[in-house]
Amino acid sequence: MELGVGIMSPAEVEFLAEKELVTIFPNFSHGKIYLISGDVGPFVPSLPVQVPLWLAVNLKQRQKCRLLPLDWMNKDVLEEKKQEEYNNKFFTAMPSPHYREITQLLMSIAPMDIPHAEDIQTLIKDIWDIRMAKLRSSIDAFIKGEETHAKLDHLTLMEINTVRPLLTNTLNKLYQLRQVSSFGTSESQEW
Amino acid sequence: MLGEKALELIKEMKRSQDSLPILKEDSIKQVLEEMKALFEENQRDVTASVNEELQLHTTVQLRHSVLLRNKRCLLTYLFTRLMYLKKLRWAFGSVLPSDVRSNLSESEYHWFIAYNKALATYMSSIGDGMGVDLQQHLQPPKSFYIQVRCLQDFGDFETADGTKVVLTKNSVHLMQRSQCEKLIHQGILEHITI
Amino acid sequence: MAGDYETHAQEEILHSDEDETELTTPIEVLQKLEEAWLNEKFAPELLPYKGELVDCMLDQLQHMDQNLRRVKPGDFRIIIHKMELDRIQFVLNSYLRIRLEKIERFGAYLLNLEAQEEAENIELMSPEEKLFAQQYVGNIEGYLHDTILQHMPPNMEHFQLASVGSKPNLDSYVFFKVLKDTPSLVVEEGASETRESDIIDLEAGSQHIIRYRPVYRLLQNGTVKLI
Repeated sequence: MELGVGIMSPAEVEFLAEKELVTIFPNFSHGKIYLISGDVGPFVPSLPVQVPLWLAVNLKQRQKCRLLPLDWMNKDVLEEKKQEEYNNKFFTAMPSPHYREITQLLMSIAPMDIPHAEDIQTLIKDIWDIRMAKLRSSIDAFIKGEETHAKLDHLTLMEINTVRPLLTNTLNKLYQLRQVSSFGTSESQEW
Repeated sequence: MLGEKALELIKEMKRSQDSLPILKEDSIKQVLEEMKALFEENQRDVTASVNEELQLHTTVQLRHSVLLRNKRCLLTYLFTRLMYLKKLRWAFGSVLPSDVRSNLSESEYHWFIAYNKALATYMSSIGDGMGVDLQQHLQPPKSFYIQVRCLQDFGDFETADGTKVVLTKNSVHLMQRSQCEKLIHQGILEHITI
Repeated sequence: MAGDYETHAQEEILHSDEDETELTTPIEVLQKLEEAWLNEKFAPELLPYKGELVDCMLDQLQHMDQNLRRVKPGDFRIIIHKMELDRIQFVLNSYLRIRLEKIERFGAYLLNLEAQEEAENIELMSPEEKLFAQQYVGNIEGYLHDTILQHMPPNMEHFQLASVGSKPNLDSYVFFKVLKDTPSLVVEEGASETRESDIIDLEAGSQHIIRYRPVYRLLQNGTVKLI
């Protein structure tokens, strides 16, 4: 059986990111489409319309639309964000809780729709690296300090998921050790 | 050495994490015989020691712990094999590859059938009898759907996420691009643009 | 078909929950199902079965599937609807599979909880899951009995899966997001003179990592969700 308990695959992280709404410019006409997750459309050629990312990807792949870069996919905005993240001891709020996945997805299917696509990709990667480095040292300090809980505001799902196995396994073991040293006993199994 | 056969079974289990070797029925039998012998010896010693010294007590205890250990080893050996079979069920479906099948004991095979049956019963009863095939949609779907027409009779086709499609000439299907690319290349399917 | 198609998705679904009648839109059901999926995925124990959500979603899926069959093949909408159906089906299937995995892992232990469940009026497993658990545990115990246990010395024939099967580890660490403000949560009891109890406040919107045990009640009442 797929080991789904306690684990989230990168594909599942991306699946969740694909729910985000993005703006597209269709090159076709169609009335409203009544999806269970919300209506989309109507589609009028060259008029902007919001659709979930998973739909935008499909339409783009079928060459039925052009994508509008999200407002934070902008060199100046991201430069500023990168500086802010670098200068701040803690994690700052990201423009989207799925900033990395969305960028990766859009870059793979619609780089032509995003001005300065390469620069944007680099900036996003830089921001990611800064945050991951912060995360690793926070985790180090956390474990050494034998803390029992931590606040993780502003961390995105993908960042959490990257450290999930390491962090939970280590903390679980530490807790077990704390129990043993406090009470001096351990449970044994009788068959 | 006492308990050696049982230990061998455990060692084999550890060695073969990715495969299912043939069930060692002989070894199991030997372990059970050892247990029988140990138990009988203990019975004799316990009856005898009622009238005699306590030094037999340690021997009885030793035999008892070997008995427990043997029991534990046998249970672990068989249980682990069942868990491995379970894994195969989800990987291969309800029909086992013949090389695996030949390594199973009859009892193991019957257990496998029973497990399948329990699963099938469960899946078909979900949602007040509506039923859900949990073997499908094992991965999140990717958005790259295209519509294809089948150009020749091909038969059953299973996509990576477990969806089954029947490809007959002129049938039209919605498939994920990644799944049917090969068939398109082979000229079996034709991409229809809508 | 057009009229049917248009009004369907807008429809509010009536749930009668014994005394209450709740109005829930398809979107809300889907959101709740996704939340249930993630909670189940990350919780170390089996959570109460969300039967209403499952049944409701299955209805939706069937309804939409039937609608699609009536649409002319090649209609532009088909692919789009099919993609959404696949997404929903994935969440549903994953939810049920994760539960199945836990039921197999802790089956014997869960069946023993039945009396407690009835007292607290919680449905942990659906009737179908319960039946599966019974058959699963029974098949294993039966197999072990027939192959080796019955051939063991008289006082050693007994074995119950419940005695060696796992119990959920409620002390494993989980990530969660706070949905409603909650003051003064006790995180860890003072275990010795050198460790005092850790108490924290949970603000709505914040994210944390803590052991599951202190927060599982908050999960049950919707104060937090697992991420």
